[in-house]
Amino acid sequence: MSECILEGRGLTRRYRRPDGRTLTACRRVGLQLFPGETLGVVGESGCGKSTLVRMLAQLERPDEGELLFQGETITGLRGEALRRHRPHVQMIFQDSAAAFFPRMRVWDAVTEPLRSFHPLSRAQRREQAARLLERVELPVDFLDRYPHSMSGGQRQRLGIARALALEPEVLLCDEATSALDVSTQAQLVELLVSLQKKQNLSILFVCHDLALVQSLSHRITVMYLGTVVESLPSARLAADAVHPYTQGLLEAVFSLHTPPGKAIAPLSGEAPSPTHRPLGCPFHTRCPRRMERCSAEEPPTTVVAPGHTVACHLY
Amino acid sequence: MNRAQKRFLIFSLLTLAIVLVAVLAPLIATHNPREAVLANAVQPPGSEHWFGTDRMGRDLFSRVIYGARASILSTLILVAGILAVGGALGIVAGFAGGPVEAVIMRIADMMVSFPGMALAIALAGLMGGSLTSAILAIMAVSWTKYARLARSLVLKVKHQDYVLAARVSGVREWDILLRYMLPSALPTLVITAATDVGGMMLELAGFSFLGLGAQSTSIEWGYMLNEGRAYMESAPWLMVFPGLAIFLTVSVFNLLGDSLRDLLDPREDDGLPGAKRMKRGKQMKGIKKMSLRTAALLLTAALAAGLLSGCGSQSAGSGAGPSGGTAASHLNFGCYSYSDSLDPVVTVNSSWAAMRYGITECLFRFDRQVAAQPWLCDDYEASDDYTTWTLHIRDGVQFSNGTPVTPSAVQAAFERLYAETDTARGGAGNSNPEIYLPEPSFSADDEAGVLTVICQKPTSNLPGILAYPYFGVIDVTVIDRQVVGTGPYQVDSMRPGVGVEMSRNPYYWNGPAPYDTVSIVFIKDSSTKAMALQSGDVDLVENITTASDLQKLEADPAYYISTAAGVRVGSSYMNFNGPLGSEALRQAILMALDNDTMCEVTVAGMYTAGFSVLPSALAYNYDQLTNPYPYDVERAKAVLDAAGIVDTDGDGIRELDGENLNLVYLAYTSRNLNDFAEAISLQLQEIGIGVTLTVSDYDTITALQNAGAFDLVTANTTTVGTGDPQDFLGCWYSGNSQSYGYYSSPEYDACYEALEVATDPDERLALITRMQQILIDDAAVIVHGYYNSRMFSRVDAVTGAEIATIDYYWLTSDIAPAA
Amino acid sequence: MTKKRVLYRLLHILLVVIGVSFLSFLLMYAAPGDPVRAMYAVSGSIPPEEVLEQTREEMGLNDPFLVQYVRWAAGCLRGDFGTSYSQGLAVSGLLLERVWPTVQLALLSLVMMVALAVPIGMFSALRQNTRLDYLLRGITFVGISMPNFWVGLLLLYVVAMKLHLLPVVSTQMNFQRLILPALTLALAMAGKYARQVRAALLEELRQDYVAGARARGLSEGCILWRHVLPNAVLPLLTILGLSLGSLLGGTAVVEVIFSYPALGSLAIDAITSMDYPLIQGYVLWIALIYMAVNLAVDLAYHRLDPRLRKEGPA
Repeated sequence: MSECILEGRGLTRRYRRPDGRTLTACRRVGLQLFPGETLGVVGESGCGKSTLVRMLAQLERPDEGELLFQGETITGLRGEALRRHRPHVQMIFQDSAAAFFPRMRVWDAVTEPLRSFHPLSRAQRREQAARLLERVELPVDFLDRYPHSMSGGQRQRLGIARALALEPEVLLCDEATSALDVSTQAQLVELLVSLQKKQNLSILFVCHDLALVQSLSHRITVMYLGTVVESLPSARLAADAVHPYTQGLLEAVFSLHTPPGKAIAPLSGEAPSPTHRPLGCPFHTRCPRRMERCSAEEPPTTVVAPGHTVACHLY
Repeated sequence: MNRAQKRFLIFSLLTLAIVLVAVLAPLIATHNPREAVLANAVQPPGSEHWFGTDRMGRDLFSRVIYGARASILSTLILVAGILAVGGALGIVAGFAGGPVEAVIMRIADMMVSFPGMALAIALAGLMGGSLTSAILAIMAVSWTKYARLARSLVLKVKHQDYVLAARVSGVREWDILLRYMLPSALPTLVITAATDVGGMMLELAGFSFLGLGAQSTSIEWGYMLNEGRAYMESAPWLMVFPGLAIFLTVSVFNLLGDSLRDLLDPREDDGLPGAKRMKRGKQMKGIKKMSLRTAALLLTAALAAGLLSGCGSQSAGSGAGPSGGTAASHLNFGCYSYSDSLDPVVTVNSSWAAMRYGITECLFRFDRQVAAQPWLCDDYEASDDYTTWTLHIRDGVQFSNGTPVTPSAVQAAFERLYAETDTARGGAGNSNPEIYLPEPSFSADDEAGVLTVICQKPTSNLPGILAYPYFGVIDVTVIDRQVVGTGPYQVDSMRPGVGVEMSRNPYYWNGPAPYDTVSIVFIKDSSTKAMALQSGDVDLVENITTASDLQKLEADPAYYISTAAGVRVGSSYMNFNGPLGSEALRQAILMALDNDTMCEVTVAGMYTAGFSVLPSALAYNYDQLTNPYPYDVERAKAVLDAAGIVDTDGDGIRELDGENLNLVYLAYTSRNLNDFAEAISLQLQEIGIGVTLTVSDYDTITALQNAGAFDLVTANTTTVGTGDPQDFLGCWYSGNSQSYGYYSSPEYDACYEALEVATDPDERLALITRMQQILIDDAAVIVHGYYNSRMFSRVDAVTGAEIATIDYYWLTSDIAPAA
Repeated sequence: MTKKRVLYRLLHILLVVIGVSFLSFLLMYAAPGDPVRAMYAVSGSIPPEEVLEQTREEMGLNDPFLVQYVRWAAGCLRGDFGTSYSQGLAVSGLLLERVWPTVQLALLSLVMMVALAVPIGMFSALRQNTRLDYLLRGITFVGISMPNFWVGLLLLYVVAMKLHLLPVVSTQMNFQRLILPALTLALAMAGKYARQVRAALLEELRQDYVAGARARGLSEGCILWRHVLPNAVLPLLTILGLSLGSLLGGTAVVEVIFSYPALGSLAIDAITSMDYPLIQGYVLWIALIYMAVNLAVDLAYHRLDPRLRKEGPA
């Protein structure tokens, strides 16, 4: 197994609300991303996925923890050094409309990243833009259009094209498909997979749709209330998931193949507020199998099987 | 092309048209806007002058056309500046956040709460009042609005995903600001700026109107409005046309701004269902309810305000209203208030006020020729060396509270005057009797009714000095509560800024005071004074200075106007240390000036023309003096030609010693001095003498004057503060004449030195007469005239309303109800 | 707002006030001109230089800038704002005398302005693009395009002189005195305000909730008065606050024309006669007023706009 290309250790991020309370978005999150593989991150709204992505993209600095790229610590990078590091890790956003400046044309937007690193003439940039569009299977005559005149799916491809401009090693997708309809989602996922094969791209795919994540990822990390509760190869998800939360998620998934009479078993209760994290295991308030320990002690991350970790007192 | 675009196009064209008018002014104007023909002053619109002429005889139409340049250009610069500064700071503040934002926004808060007017005046003082200083002042206070706007616009977009995307893509922060923040904020800022142009133009006009912006040397609409104000009734075109020009231009810019906004931000005109579909019937009900509510609101507010103001007002004496015809006679006297206090020790102005209102009196009083006559002192004697004076206090004089006026009381008043104005003794008053009479020692003999004054040095003019308002005799025993004097009227109540209620002094020694009660009403504005007189709200008014009002009242037999060529002379000192050292030049200058027209027309009769430095009304033998340089333009030119001061290079300006003549003329805005300076500059230019006129505030000019940095400088001086012109004549004594032009004449010096020691009145008179003539013969100074004082009264209400030569006396016991 | 916020606000006000007073002190100090000479100039005869110098010493004008500033600031803390050079009286007294008339004028002007502007703005918005709208917009145009001193003079001339409806001047500080100056100020501001009202109303009427309310069957009047108007009022508050602030600072031109003794004309006189202490006192007043009004407006916002109120636990 090659060494991981992007690694996060103990990443913690807190926000101070204007009324004085602290919101913990991420707590001691660790993950590893390997070259050429896709890591899926799932969880409910408010579980800290987006914050995690931002930290990985270095749009925000973790309050605690480290970030490593190809084994080197990059958490301390600032200013120009940080900027110079950017080409390695790129990002795609959920709302493709908001991700593009309304007044920039496609060719300009897609090659904008290049401006800050390789000064090119206008003609050269248009050439580059055309090439990038090709790679994401967008027609070349889109060059002079405005992003808002495109459909959501096309725009998301555009986002990918822009992200690819700097030839990154890592691509972070923050709910990139959530705003698209199902068929478009499938097309986008196909594109991502093919790109990954072609250039050995590492993809971090954040999503709340378990089924979609499973179809795309090599490994899956499950988050709850800012912590990682389970991490395992995606092929083994249905079979091997042990954390009560993951099991609850699996039970709650609707599938076309679910027999009609099957009972729906939603998880009871609601996720607590991230400003009032319960002591001990964050899930214990809703866990059907909680014990005494769970409300007092935080469960450590243990390895249950090769490539499979869990944070639960049951194991 | 849709409607919005059409509108924008139309208004853009209109704007362009106006700008073209400004640019093509030389082609459109019919006359030279600076060419002044004094004789043509204030002509109504006609075939020759489409808009008429202004008070200098310049064509108004051409001035309005040229005025477009200054007005439009300055406004555009102002708005562009505000937009640039405010926008830049706001964008940076919004984007950078943190301490940068905090600092910028604090500064913005500061500037917003800074009174713009104060800043404008301060800047005008620092760099001379001009359009530039006004622009800077308004800019400094107005950029904050744009900064706030820019900041809020940036805040809206700075967390957008595309900004994050750009950052992730490695775009530099600075580039994000320029490529994202700026274009997001700019359209709104520009639209706001476009809609603000109109308002800014009005602001600038307002500043020029107040004299803080464009000065008389520039052609600008606001300033023209200011000039025309004095002629509101008699020559309304002077205000109408510039005002109309402002109005039209502002309207066009406003319309342009609106149409621009509609074009770029088409929310108003897109006929969304919201507005249009409000059904009529329901609307009417809604509107009717609204009107009722509004009316109720207004009524309540009016009542509330009325109640509020009711409990705020003091109970004044008998209110305003036409007097006469009732058993109790009452006078309403409108005047300008120079002071909030009536205590002689507080300031110079308060001592004058007390005397002018008829509250205090002195031991002596100036007559029509400004000679000191006995008043509260009825007999006096001086020692031979004029250091010891024995003054007999008139018997039977009482203060208005009944306390007898004894020599001790007078002594107490004088001693208090010196004590209260001496900081060494803890005095807080700003009056300065020391400059007239260094503190003497007093002794009183109440039995004999005599006050002895022992002066520090020989003082032959003690009566004149003691007639100065500082030495008003007050009752010191009650001074901490009220100002009590010996004059015909006493104070009942005073409301600073509003007026004084007075009643008759029952103990007045000089016959019964004619009125039972008097209301003094403070009026700040000359036109308002005139209006108040005409409407009957006041019966008596002093010193109306606006030309049209003056003319109107003079022509109306219902009003009596008493005029006195007063004790002030308006003049311009000549600096002998420069081109004006040439005698021929000075003589020519004097002969080129049409003093009579200037006094009558240009300053609308505010001055009486004269040629000696001492006013003609005084008793210094004015009628024995001769003027060798009367008004004669041809002769002036001939003198210049004969002296070889000619124009050799055909540029219209004569040369002296090989250099173009360009006299530096300093003037300040007070008592029409700047009007004289302007008119004189124009007349001198007519005969080929170049003049650079600078009009500024008193202090700036005085500073330059003291530095000797002038060729000509205006002055309006009280020649006989204490009835003796010796101090004034000292201006030309070579010992201290540097601020007054370095004049030096051995004969004059000899006379002055003799005057300093002479004590015999006839000897003094002869010396003074001689000194006047010397100055006249030497063409040493330009005399504009003598500032007139006036008193206006309604004939049907008041008689005896004469104005004294020296303006210490306004309300005298001669002023009585009409029969 | 929390106590902490209020404290911050007060600190902020203090900083601004200090900054403003410092700036104005600096300006007056730097401006050429000599208050001592100006003081004497009034009477027409300037005493010789030695006397001037002596007076300057006595008044402490030769001390370095910071010393003078600190001296003044220390005095302020004691409640002593100095003595006016031109009037010889205590600055605090001079200002206080004129505060009440200024407040009266400001309030009445504001009330009149709102009473004029709001109906015009509303009519204009409700009948958007009809002839009435254009007429009203035309009127507001005239309003914002005419210099206010012109309006004042005209009013004085027509109402007081020709029609004799009101006295030109009077010794009574009563309601009559207030009407014309307040009307002049109101007219000058109403044009601008009416346009703001119109814009704000139109903005609100476009919102989705209006269509929603209509769909639910609410009457037009109800929608207007209970939903649209309250929402539109908020941004107008700020503008109102700004206007009040500037009115309370004094309105020099109008005061001069109508001989109304308030702070504006006092300020002009003070400035032209280089009366440092009075100028400083006035500037201090202005800064305080602005900040106070801003604070009041912000507080009002917080009370009136539920969105800004603190949210409870999620």
